[in-house]
Amino acid sequence: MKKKEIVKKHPLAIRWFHWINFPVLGIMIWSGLLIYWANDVYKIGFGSTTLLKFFPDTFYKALNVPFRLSEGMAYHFVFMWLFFLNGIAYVIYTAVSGEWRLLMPNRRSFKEAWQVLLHDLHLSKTTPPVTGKYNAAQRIAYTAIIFMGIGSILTGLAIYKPVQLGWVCSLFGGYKMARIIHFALTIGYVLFFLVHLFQVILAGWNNFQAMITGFEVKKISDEKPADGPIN
Amino acid sequence: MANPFKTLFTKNAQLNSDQLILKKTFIAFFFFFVFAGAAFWGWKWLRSQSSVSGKTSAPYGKS
Repeated sequence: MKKKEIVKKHPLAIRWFHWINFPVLGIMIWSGLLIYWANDVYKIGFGSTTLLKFFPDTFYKALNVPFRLSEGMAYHFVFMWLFFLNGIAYVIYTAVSGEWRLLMPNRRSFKEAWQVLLHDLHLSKTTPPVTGKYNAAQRIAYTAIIFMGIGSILTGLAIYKPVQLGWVCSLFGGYKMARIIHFALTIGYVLFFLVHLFQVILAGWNNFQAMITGFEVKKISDEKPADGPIN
Repeated sequence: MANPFKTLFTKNAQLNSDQLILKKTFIAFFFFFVFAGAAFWGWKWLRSQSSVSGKTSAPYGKS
């Protein structure tokens, strides 16, 4: 006979930061796209050959992007404050609460992350080790996303006020380079979001609902109770 | 499936694990949707405010 038990997973503060960040980052990416449309110079290719243009006209039209530059700027410059404040609060909270210990990768993380990747792609049957709340791949991803956030804010400030914050601009190699980094980081967020969504779907309902309720439901046998039941 | 309203105001000590999980899940999702709804409708309300008065400019109010 198996019993169900509540095991605490995400503190309330983390859940608040996560669910504030989700729509705010969405609005930042969308409004950033409205701004980028006005000067869409980036592409992947070589010489005069373009392999991928950021972005095709059909993409813009499908998302109703054209001629909304001022609207995009207005949204971007409002929500950047929320993105910034939420990010700062998250970093301070993880530092003060000790949550950073569960997030930071250790020296084994990069090797283990490879095992996680192979396992998730069904290329390996070896179950990768999970030490603490997150596996190695999650530790690397969730730490990287913090540095990406810092990078986005700094490059964003550099291209927002390239004269007043000229020193920030030169830190990234000038206005053009800061804009490229800002754009590349945004593409990184979109890719992160897609992988994150895929992983959440793979992990199932119990894992997803923990980001709302704060706990996971563990099934335990009557003979051997699990550690740390919280009622 | 048990009725979550039945155990919503019952003390935790009197509930079995299934009832407790249901109660906590219900409360968490309830507040999640309350806050999400408040944020969404609050923003909609803010956007509907006229800028004629000169107090609410875009993107908070209609431009």
